[in-house]
Amino acid sequence: MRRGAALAALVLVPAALVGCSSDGDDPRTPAIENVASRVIVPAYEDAATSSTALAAATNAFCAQPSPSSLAKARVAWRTSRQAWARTEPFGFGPAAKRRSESFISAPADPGRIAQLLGATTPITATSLSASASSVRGFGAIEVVLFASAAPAAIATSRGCAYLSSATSAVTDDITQLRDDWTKDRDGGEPPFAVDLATEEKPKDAVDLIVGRNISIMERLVDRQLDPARGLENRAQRARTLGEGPAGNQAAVISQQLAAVRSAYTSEDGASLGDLFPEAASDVRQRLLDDLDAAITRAQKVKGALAADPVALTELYEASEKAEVTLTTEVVSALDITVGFSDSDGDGG
Amino acid sequence: MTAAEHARRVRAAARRPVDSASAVAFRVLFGAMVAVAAARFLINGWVAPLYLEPRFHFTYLGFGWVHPWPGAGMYLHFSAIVVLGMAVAFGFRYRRAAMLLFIAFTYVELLDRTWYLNHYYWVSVVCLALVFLPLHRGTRTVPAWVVWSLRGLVGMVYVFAAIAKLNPDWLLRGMPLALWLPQDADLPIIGPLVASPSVPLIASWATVAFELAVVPLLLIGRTRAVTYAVAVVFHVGTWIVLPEIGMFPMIMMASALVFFAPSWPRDVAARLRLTFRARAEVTRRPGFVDRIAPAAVAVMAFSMVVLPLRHLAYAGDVRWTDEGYRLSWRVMLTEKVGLARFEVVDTAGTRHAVNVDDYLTAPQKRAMAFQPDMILDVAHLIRDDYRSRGMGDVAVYADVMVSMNGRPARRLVDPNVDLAAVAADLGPKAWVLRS
Repeated sequence: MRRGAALAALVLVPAALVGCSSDGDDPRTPAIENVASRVIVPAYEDAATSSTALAAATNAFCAQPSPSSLAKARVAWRTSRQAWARTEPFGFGPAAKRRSESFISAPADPGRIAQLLGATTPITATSLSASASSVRGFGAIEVVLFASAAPAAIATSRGCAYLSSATSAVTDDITQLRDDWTKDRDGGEPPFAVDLATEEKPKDAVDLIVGRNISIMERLVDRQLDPARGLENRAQRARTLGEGPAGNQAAVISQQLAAVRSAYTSEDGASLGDLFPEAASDVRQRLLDDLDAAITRAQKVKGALAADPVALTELYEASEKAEVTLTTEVVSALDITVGFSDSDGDGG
Repeated sequence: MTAAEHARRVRAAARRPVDSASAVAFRVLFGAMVAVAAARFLINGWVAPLYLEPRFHFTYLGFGWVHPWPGAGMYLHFSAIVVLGMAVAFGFRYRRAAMLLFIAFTYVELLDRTWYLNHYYWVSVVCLALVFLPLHRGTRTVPAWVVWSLRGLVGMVYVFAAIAKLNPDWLLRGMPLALWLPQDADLPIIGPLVASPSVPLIASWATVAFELAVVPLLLIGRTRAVTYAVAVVFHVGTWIVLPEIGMFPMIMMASALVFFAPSWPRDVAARLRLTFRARAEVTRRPGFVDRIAPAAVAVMAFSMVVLPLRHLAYAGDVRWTDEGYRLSWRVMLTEKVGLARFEVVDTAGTRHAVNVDDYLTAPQKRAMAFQPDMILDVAHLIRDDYRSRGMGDVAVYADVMVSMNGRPARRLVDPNVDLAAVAADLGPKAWVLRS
């Protein structure tokens, strides 16, 4: 009888554990909360503020075209583009739903932009919003704003209409995204930052962040830097890198890498870096070191990245190392993949 | 006693009639579980993403001719597996049902190595064994070797799984449990326990000890019940902590019942005072399959022992090279994650970076990135694609970085070898970097 009871307990206790609802303290939750509030939301807020400043600067330039106002508008564009770059490693949730990446930072098509500038149909924010990704967003603004050294050549009536419309569309898009992250959304949904932090399965939120980080690194290394470094022609390199006349791509990459890094540092509280198991505690440091090396390489680039093949190769090599660490060791340590690389699972 | 007398005694013991109840219970539970496993594919919507949406399938060497059914065929196929599983469970046209189930289930397994699972391989093996085992409806007794065959099929999983874990990573570093268990810190009650740094190593040793001891202890009458209870705790525990392992715990818990006395289902029914309408015993005249059954099962048993050991014919760590990894009961053994990049060099010497996403689905890409034979398949796929586009005899190179069991990522294959020119075969892969 006693043996039977012991056997029953042996069998029933684990079964009862399965039946328990999972409401234990998940260390992922504070890490996600902190990454959302400390890194992602400020990035979107900064992007919204700087895009508003960009719109104001281009309007000021068009109101009084001068080398000084043009320089200010260009600085505002660089600032705003780089601020947007800091949001790109977190382009999931609202950004994915709104396809913001496509609208805001798609590569520009200078030929089509020239056609629009040369046409007679009115250019408005609404008409641009309904146009292809390649004629709107930061890339399009860059093509117009950096087209000439002469302010008067840029501040034509159609040029200014284009700048005003494009900056307005970008500002609207980014402001909506910021609001999605920070304010109650349509249908009474809570802010996405709250949604993410209260995800029923915090592991899903970690998967979302790391998965997006990996996508950004893959695009950067495998689809931009790697193919570009093999090209002889500077224009081809620029096209592959998505670098426009501002020659700003190294700065953009630097900001993207820094944003990825910020999700794993614990300088201001919990982060994904705190989730590494003790057995893989060195992985976090390796990732941070690799990212630091890549950021340093990007920051060393003076001027256009496409113009400096040596710097391009060095940046590729450093970024590739960070990509490998993130895609293999971090994924393994944080259990981001299906988990059973010997394929013994079918529950996922 | 002479060898001949010894052999005669063994033959006599093997032919001794025993109650068929436990073997029939095995058949019923097995058939039902296969039906449930197939139904899960239909219910969870796995058929399309696994078999219909991929443009390319990693078929097994020599089975390139196996393709998914077009249209609704795969759905009908999985429905057929459900029906056949139930037919085996109920013993309806048992032998034909078992043969068709073996063909239907194995066909699915042969479609794509991405989805290889040790326990699905085991299902195929058992289906084939059932074809030869006389477990028809109305069978009251079976030769003892039938029950022992089933025990052998269950036992070898534990034994080879234990042997595979006798490596420094498992025993000295607690890997890969040291990576997996801390991810379950949120589990109620046991969460803080499994997340404790010392637990993975303890769990690793406990797992090996359990897997090594479970078969002998299940064979001994006095320890059988307690051992089975421990097995249930072990499998439920792994299911809680590692839910991704899917049906494996259920399959093993149900199958291990075969270690109890051949009459255990009748004994349990008697204790519970359950009465069943006794089916009339069916006397069958042994046919051809019955006559070759012992030899067929012996051949299968030999294969089951040799296949897990074939990795010894290759140099290097099988967990890294994957040569001889599959069909070997290497269960929950490694955590490997890779990043594979391919490059084509055309006849003019121009290099082209290849986007693997153009060829593979995300799970295929993930599985391929650490398995050399799949990497070779992708290289050939890219070669054939470029050829079909009129690019001629291109060279294909792969740069693959893999992290195994928490170690820093390192190169898996020689990036200077033109994989387009390497044949896919069972020989040692000289282009795999071994250390």
